Amino acid sequence: MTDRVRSNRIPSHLAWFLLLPLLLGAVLAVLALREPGGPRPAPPPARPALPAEPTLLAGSPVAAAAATEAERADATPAPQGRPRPDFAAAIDRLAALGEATAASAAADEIAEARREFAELMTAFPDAGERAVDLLTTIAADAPSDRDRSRRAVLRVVLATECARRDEAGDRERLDALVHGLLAALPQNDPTAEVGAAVLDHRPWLRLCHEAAVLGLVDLAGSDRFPRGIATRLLLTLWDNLQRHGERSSADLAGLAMVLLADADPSKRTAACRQLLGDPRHRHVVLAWLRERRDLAVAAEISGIAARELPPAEALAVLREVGALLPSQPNAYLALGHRAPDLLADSYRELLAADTHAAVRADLVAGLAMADPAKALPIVELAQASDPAPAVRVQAMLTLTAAAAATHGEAACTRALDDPAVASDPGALAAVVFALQNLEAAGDINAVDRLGQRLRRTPLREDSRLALEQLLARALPGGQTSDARTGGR
Amino acid sequence: MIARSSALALLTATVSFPLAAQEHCPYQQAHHVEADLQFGPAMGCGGVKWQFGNVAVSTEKQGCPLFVVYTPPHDVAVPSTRPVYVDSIALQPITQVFFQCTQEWFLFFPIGSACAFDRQINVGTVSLLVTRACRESRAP
Repeated sequence: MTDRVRSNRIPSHLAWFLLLPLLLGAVLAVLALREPGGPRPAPPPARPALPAEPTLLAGSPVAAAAATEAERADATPAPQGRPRPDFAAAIDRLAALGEATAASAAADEIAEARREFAELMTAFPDAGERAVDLLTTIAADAPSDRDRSRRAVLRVVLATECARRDEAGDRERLDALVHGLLAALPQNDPTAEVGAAVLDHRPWLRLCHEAAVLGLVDLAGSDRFPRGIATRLLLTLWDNLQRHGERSSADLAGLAMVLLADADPSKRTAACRQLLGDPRHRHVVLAWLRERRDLAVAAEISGIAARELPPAEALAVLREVGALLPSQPNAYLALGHRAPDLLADSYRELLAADTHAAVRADLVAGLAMADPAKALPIVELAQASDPAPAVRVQAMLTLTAAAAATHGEAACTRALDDPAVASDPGALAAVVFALQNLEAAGDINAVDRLGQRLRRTPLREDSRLALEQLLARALPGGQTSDARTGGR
Repeated sequence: MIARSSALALLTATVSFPLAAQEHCPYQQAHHVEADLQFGPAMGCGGVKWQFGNVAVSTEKQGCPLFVVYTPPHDVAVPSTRPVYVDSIALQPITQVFFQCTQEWFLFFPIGSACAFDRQINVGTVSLLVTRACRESRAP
């Protein structure tokens, strides 16, 4: 099981925490002045009116006394002439007030920000150059929240400036700004991310920037620049060159073929994507792959195809790559999310022909990403009828992943009844993973029953350890029911 | 007589074992595959930082992924020109981690939403393999 070492949630509206104390004060003041049912009655004689209510700290004796008083007041009938407020209605009113206050504050903030931003862009015709300069002064080490906010604002300034110069037809100043930005990107990763946000999938990179972009790709090759950003910028550049007729498709394909053999992964990924994306060049890259038998490029191609090509074409590429790289479950999982029906149909065909057992296992793995209602019949067919034990084991795992509550225990039981699984420590390790799925689904009784059976099987040492850890987590004292009852 | 028979049997075993092993040798070797992450569609509620094995992932820019599929580093059997075969020494799970957007509140003010862990399941398996010479330990 993968270790979850650290998890950090990132709230989307941190700024609210600065604003909310003010809003809360305002709302409480409004509530104090607008009691439902008319004006506030005079205070009871036993408790003289105070000039101002003191702040009550939770847990303090004063707060406790006030709470007790509030409880007493709630238990007594409402004073004469003042109808008791409906509790649910009051809650509804507060909820609506909270929502309205939040929405109104957000709208005000956005309107003010828009106005100030427009003023900034008008006041500074060279806002782009100023933004690049300022970007380079923000330290990457131990960035504060304000630093992150500054970068976010500068990113918007740069994107707006590029669009403004493009609309004005000021190509010379736009190219110069992009040059300046590209030169600043290697400074640190946050600056590179700002540059990627401004330039990726935008029409600003052109032929005059080719050397600078290839320079970033070279830096990525020596781990001095983020690989992903270098790849995206190179692909954006190529796309723009082709779109604007500055390089022909054939020119780019030739360049991509050269880069395909490069040891640098950024160049290779860009080359694969460029060639696979064009059906005219797809067979070229696959022929190259068959000849060179480069497994790293094969894995790259199957991943890109599964994520980006039309599903039927992606499946054809995966089958072709499969001759070189027989097992690629991650690619089939990606494709399964996009086109589960295609995977189901392909599995039926291969099962009927009884060929390509490794591909059948990957297809059944990919069906874990499908709608269970559609996938379950075909996965159950795989576990019941497929001649390859590896496919039957994968079907069991898929059933526990997709429908643990309804199909999980039966799938595991069938697997343990299968002689090819019950005597194979490798297959039994997969049954332990399936049991982890039942644990995640909260089916503790099934974990108990299957845990008893698994303990009696020839598990590998690491699988046995994983099983005992699972039982210790899921069952009281880590004991299965047969151990608790002494085998009665 | 007995000694001659034993010597013949030993000679036969010595000669025939590697030959038979060669005949049944699959000529496959282990090829290492790096860890892989596949991201599901993004939801609009901020990002998440998560640790998959040794890979730290931050999706602050891309938003909250509906799920992430993590395939750990593993090996696959690929054709070899040498008389070798692969032996599986361990199985590793391919995990799918689901995330969800959760509403965040300050008292009764909705102040946005955050990307939070939902659940984790095993969707597949990959193997750790070692390459062994056919004549080393494999019986015909």
